[in-house]
Order: sequence, then C-alpha cells, then structure tokens
Amino acid sequence: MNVRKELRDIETVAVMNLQWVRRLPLLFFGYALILPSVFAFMFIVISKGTNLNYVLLGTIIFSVVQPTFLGMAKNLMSDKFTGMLTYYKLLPISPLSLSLGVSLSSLAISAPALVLYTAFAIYVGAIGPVTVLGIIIVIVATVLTWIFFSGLGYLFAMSSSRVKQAQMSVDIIWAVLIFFSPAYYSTDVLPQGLRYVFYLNPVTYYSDLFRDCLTSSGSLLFILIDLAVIGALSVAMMLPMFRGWKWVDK
Amino acid sequence: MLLVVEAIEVSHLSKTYANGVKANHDISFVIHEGESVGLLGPNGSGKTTLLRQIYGELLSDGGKVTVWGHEVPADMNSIKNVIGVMPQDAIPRTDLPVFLQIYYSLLLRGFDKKEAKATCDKTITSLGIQEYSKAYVLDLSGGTQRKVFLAMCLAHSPKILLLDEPTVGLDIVFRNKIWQTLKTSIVESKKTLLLTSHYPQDIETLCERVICMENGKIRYDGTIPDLLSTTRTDTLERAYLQLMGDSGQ
Repeated sequence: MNVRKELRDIETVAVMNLQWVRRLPLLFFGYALILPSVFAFMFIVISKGTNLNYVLLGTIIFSVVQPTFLGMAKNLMSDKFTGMLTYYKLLPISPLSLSLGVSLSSLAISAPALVLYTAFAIYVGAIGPVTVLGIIIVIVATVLTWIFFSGLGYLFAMSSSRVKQAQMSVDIIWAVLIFFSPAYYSTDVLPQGLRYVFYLNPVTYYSDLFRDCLTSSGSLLFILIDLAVIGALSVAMMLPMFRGWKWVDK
Repeated sequence: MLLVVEAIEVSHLSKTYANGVKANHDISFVIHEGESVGLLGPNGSGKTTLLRQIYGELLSDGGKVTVWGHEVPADMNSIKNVIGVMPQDAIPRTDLPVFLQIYYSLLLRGFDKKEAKATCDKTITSLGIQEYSKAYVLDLSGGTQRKVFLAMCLAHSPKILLLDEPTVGLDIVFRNKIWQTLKTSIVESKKTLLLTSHYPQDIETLCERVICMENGKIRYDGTIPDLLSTTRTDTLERAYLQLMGDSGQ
C-alpha cells in the first residue's frame, strides 16, 4: 500500500465532495448548525434546562455520528444509483480511500457544530475538569467511532439495491442509533430491562466513554472497557471497506 | 521480437445470476487494437452483463477475460488507466461543475494539478463543451450530461473505450452529436472501441464489426459489410432483424 497516494486520494475525494458547499452555502449552514441546534433546543425544552451537560454532550456526539453514517451511506448510495460508483471503482484508487474521503467530507460538514458546542459546553461548565489522558481517550474514541460509522454507512450503501427503500431505511437507522442511546439523556430514566437493550447500540459505548472522560465521572476500568468495545467494532467495520466488500458483484 | 497484445480477449465466458437467470453462455471473441466493435442485441440479451464482466465489475462463473494482456478482475489495477468506461444510464455528479468533474477524475488517476488542469481544458475544447465548462451538471440537458460523462471517460486518453448504450434516451440531434464526438475522439485516433446499443444505426455509424447477441449467446460475429452481404440487405437494421428471424415487414 502506497500510504502517500492513499492520503492524496482521500484528500481529493474529500475536497471534491465538499464542492457543493460553494454552491449552496445556506444549505451547508442549515445542515451543519441548524439541524444539531434544533435537537439541542428540543432536549433543553424537554428536560426544562436541568440536564444541560447531557444535551450539550449529546449534541457533540450527534455531530460526529449523524454526518458520518448518514453522509457516507447517502453519498455512496447516490453514486451507486447514478452509475458514478462504477466510474469510481474503475479509477486507480482503493475502496478504503474512496470511503474515507467521502466520510471525511461528511465529518468536515459537522465541524462547525462540533467546535461551537464544545466551546459552549466548556463555557457553561458541562465539560471538565478533564485530564490529559481523558482528552487523549476521547480523541482516539472519536476517530474509532468515525471509522465505525463510516464502515456501517459503507455496508448499508453497498448492500442496498433499491434507492427509495435504502434512503428511508438510513433515516430510520440513524434515528434509532442516536435516540435509543444515552447520547442526549441518562438511561437512569428508563426501566432496568431497557437499559441493557441500549448496550446493543454502539453509540451507547461512545456516549458513556465520552461523558465519563469529559465530566470525570466514570472509573478508568469502565472507560477502557468502552474503548475496547469501540475499537473492536471499528476494526470489524473497517475490514469490508479495506477489502472492498461488494466492489465486484457476484 | 514484437509482442502483439490483443486489446480484449474473451474466452468461454459464462454468467448465471443467483436467481437462476442465464445472462450469457460460452462467449468467446477477440478484439484487436484499434478495432471498433458494436454489441447489438435486444433487451436482456446479455450485452450489459458481458460488458460488466469485461471491465471487471461482475464476476464470471467460468471462462477468462483479458484486457490489454491483463487478466480481469485479478489484475484490474493494471488496466484502470488503459480503459475508459461509460456504464449504462450513468450520469455525472450533479453537484459539481463540468470542469471540476473532469479535473477531479484526473487527479484521482494520478495526474498532478497543473497537468490535470491542462488536460481538462484540452478535453473540454475537443468535445466542444466549453460553454458548459462552469455549468453544474444538474442544469444541463440529458444529452449534454452524457457528453460530459464521455469527456470523463476520454480525458485520460484510454487505449480502450467500453461504452454501454451511450445514446440511449437521446433525441436524434444529440445522438448525432455523440456520434461526431466519438468519431473524432475514438475512431480517428485509433482507439479500441466496444460499444453496446439497441440502435443498429449507432453501430453502423461507429463500428466496422458487429457482434449480435441473443439470449446470452453470440448469433453473429463479423464485419458489417459481410453481414449485409450474407443477409442481402442494405442496412444493419434490416440485416439484424433478418438475422433474428423477423424481416420487419
């Protein structure tokens, strides 16, 4: 593998995928800032402003998970159904470079919300005190989560065969992943049995780890268990992208 | 000693889909460098399947395909810059201007930025789409979108072009424009062309040889004049209908 070429290809795909922002800056603004803010506002109202740290950290989690999964799945599906994916497959680039480039562009769209809400969370005291180790773990976990949801988006896009069904299914899956997890609210409000069901959702591990690290509320053992689970899931999801699953039809 | 490499060599190729549909069976032919060949056949005759097997997007059940001496799909990386492929019904990305579509495809093919820009300008000029250079694909007509896709296939100067129904759904004016573009860009520059079409006129205009397919098998493989002479007809359309057992009367 020529790492330099792979990195150049990832950058080219990401920049190419972000070109629409120049044409539709208002849509970018809406997608990058208004959408996460709507959910933040909704949960602040529901919790009557008492759970601000949950809502703000939830918005930050949303900013990573939502564009990565949704952007990846929808971009690849669009290319698949217009024939562009066939064109890309026949370019001298690897499936991994194409996938990560697409995913990186989606993540870049979420950057304004990520920065804005992180700054706001620090300002209102929802984050901290944070240790250096905690910050490192959060960064590693964020990268792993990004890889996991890129892989999930890739799997979904490559296995779908009908455009309408696929696009609607992606929206349902995304909503389940975000809202059936402790991203925006504590699972303490749920019945005991349902809390265990939440552990089938990968966002739960990321939410727990993220919150434990940034509010210094969890034990290191639980943080490391969450990190190990996220790591294992990311490796599992990266393999299909790396090997170009469904790149050639059977 | 001069090593002669065939552009495309297909040997005993077969494909049956998972649902049991036999797309093609025991297909063999050779296409020499610089040859223009048309694959003609009705819907479901296996043309697109065959083309997809040749450019490596679809695995074959049996047989062998080599493109420019490299086996497909095992040695795909060696042929990616040798071929230019236009899939059926493909349209370029609608969120990019024409220039950037071609520019980024060249960057991903390993061109540096300066080289990509110059090649992009040259391709746009040679295809006569300068007026659309800054236009977004979304704002272009279907015919112009196909032309842009063609530009993306031609920009890196591939030795072999594999085009799947490049004129499908286009009116006669646009079909003529595509023919002119292909004639100038491919036939006159001695590129190898394999083109599928429902329209005998496309193939008659652009190709010297025709392969007629029916139910996944080759019914005829030879030059167009030979087919006209064998069937005693004056157009490929009549010859084709006669070959398929329908005089069209």
